[in-house]
Amino acid sequence: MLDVEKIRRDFPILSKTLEGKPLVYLDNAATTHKPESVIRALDNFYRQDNSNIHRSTHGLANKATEDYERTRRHVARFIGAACAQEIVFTRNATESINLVARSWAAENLKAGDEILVTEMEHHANVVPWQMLAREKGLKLKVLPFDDQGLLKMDELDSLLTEKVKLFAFTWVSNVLGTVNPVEELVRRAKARGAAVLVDAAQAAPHLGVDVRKLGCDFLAFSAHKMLGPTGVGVLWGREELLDAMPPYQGGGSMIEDVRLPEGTTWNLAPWKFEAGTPDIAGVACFDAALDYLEALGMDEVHRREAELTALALDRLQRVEGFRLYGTRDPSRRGAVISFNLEGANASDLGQLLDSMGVAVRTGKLCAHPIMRHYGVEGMARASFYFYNTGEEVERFVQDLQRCRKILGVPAVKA
Amino acid sequence: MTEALPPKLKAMVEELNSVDDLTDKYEILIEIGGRLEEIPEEAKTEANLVRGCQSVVHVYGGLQDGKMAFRGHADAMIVNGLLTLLVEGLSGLTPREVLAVSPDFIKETGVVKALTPSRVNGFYNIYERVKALALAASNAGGK
Ligand SMILES: Cc1ncc(COP(=O)(O)O)c(C=O)c1O
Repeated sequence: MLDVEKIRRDFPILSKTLEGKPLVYLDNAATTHKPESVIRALDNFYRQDNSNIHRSTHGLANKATEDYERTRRHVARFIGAACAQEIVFTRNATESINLVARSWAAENLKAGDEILVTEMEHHANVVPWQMLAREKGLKLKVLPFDDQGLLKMDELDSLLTEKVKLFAFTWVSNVLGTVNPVEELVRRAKARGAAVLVDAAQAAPHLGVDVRKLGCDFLAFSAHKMLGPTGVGVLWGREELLDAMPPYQGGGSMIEDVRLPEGTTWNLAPWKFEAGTPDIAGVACFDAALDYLEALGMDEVHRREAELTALALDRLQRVEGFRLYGTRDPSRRGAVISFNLEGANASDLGQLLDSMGVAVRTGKLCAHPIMRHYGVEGMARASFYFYNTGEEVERFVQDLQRCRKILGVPAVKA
Repeated sequence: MTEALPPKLKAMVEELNSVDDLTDKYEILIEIGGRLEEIPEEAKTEANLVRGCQSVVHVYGGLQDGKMAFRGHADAMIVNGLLTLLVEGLSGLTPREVLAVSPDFIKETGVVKALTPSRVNGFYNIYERVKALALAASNAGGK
């Protein structure tokens, strides 16, 4: 059993007040808070180890390089990669996906080829493909979801024609909370010869990831959603794919030799994808975030979140006019609850809750197609992490009841 | 600071400043917004739409007998209250008087933390629209 009070003491920001009230932070799907160990590591990096990497021979640079590369090895272990060379550091999950679009897909897809995404993607896993499709004459296809927020698996095979060269989908939806059957999706796409990219931005922070078990080709996520610093993203790619891919951006560090006026050659993967000075401190200190998660254990993280989600769904169900977007089936959902109160505007809910010290997200949640699916202008979203408590869930629901009263939401008859 | 505000706006701002708690302030804003006259559906046009707000906001207005007359609507109640501060508070002024009102009063009320384009409350975008309407009227010959 996890001692949540002890855990909360590791996160300085959690003892803050918002509008004079104890902060209840339920916007973890946007970004999570950082434990003392990560904050201290960042402070320490700039005090003790700051240097550029892969360039100078002095001791500081060696230390910084070693710290940076240690995180790469750690990430590889954390997600079950075959080797550290399969880990590319980017700015965020968004850049990881753009990298695959601009490098692998731009090289391997030609006019008439198709890319399959799902209707529940974050814009980060839609727009890069649309941009590429426009340029190269590719076609984007969409696997829809049903009103329960579950992918229509029976439509998958007919969409996976041989023209589909890539299936890019999210493991866990940042809006619906749906945990998609990732292994089955990968297996069925691979069986049709498509490459597979998994957007793990909402999965890696909450579930154990084992890329070998998944069987996909690429996997993307962000450090900031899993206790790490902002400015650090991860792209995992199968080694032989990364090796064969052209660079993404040009500049220092990504080259082997530069000749004028031409004849420049590339560094090896993953370094050929890391042009210029990266977020060295951020990457180096992501290591401490992974340590923290490993010490807790991802199973325990998941177990706690499931508990909080079940409690929240139970309490919310009693709030009149509460409308959940997504499945109630606990085995198929994560710790994200998007909702509306009938008769209330989501932005009013968000602002009122904020005034009561409860931080949630409102709006279109970077997923306009999902808003369109349900015909709503926006949603409110509460998302939990292992450091949230049952008391916080209760307070959130009480405050939501108060919002209902303030907004004069009329009682609805079931 | 509220000294310099036009009387109708000043009264609403003082109402907001009479309480400390942000939830209470929002309640007052909702009440203020509730007094705003509905606009006709035909006025909810693309041209009157204020972009960059999380909620759907329409604002329009022009000169009537030398004074600005603003109207508007937001589909979120708190934003509607913010909009009412401007629409009600600045109607009846000359364009030049409207342009002379600094938006800083809103920061003092505490209901808007920063005067930057923010999707959440949209106050800044609404303020910019109201100013643009006054400027257009003033260029068209109003004083
Ligand atoms: C499912 C999903 N994919 C991608 C992203 C993009 O992450 P980032 O903004 O860190 O690049 C997010 C972030 O909200 C997300 O929830």
